[in-house]
Amino acid sequence: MGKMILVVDNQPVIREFLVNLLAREGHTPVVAEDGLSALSAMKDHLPDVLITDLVMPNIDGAKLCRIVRGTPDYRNMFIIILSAIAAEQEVDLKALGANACIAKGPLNKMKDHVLAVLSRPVLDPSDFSQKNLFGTDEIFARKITRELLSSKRHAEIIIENMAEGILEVTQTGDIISANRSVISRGCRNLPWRAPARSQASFRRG
Amino acid sequence: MDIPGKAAELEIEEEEYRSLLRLFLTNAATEVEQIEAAIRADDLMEVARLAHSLKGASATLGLTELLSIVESMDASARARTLSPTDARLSLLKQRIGQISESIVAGRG
Repeated sequence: MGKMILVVDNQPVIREFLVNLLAREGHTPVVAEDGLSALSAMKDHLPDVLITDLVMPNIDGAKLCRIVRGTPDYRNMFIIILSAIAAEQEVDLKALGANACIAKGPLNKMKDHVLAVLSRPVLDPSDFSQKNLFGTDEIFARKITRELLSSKRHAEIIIENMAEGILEVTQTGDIISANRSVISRGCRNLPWRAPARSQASFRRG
Repeated sequence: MDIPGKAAELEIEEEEYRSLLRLFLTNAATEVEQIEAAIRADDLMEVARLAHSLKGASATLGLTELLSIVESMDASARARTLSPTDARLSLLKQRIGQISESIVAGRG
């Protein structure tokens, strides 16, 4: 049976390829170019499956997963990570709240992995087994990727623990993250804490 | 560029492959310009982010030469030895231009 599948990637080549593939297989694809757009798209089309990249502007794939897993209306969503990072570093599915991870690679390999996951009789959103890593057989840890991720994590930890309240705001005024200090001061109406209908619509002012 | 050969290798219809290449090219030139700007601004995180996107698309489309150029530039950027006038930026533009010509001419 065809599924509603939301594809989130800032690379249009990947979006187009997956839309063509999924439509041919009888699914209904919906696309978004980053996590923020994905949250907006979910208001109109509640997907059965979310296929998302990790490195994206605005709300990235890891934050998107966290928001989805923290939103009761989205609890049945099966999440597949599709990222080039997966070919360079082992992705921790449980930590991300994701159910499968496919390394970006040549089109034919990617297609085989995506279809293999989607053709399962049951897509269990509570299955976070590390067995569900695909195309990652030849992981070669690249220093550059490690540094990029490590530097990103380092910056996030510093921001999270600052006494000052820090908000990350897009050019259009959408608040996409806030540190602990903001939350402790009572500002709770942020995307990952808001009811589904108001996600990604909390605006400055 | 051998477009029919690449399409066969990737097990995709040639027309669909050409369409994906066109989409890639629409963004690639802009991304290379953004990489140049990020190098000038000494913004390594931005260079890494842009290179990540370009590398992902190149690998997906089987553009191995572009992939190795971008990987090499990314490594140099990390080592702070990449300048906005680096010859690999010109090479990258040249190769992207050649793919574009192959599609426009309908050959390859």
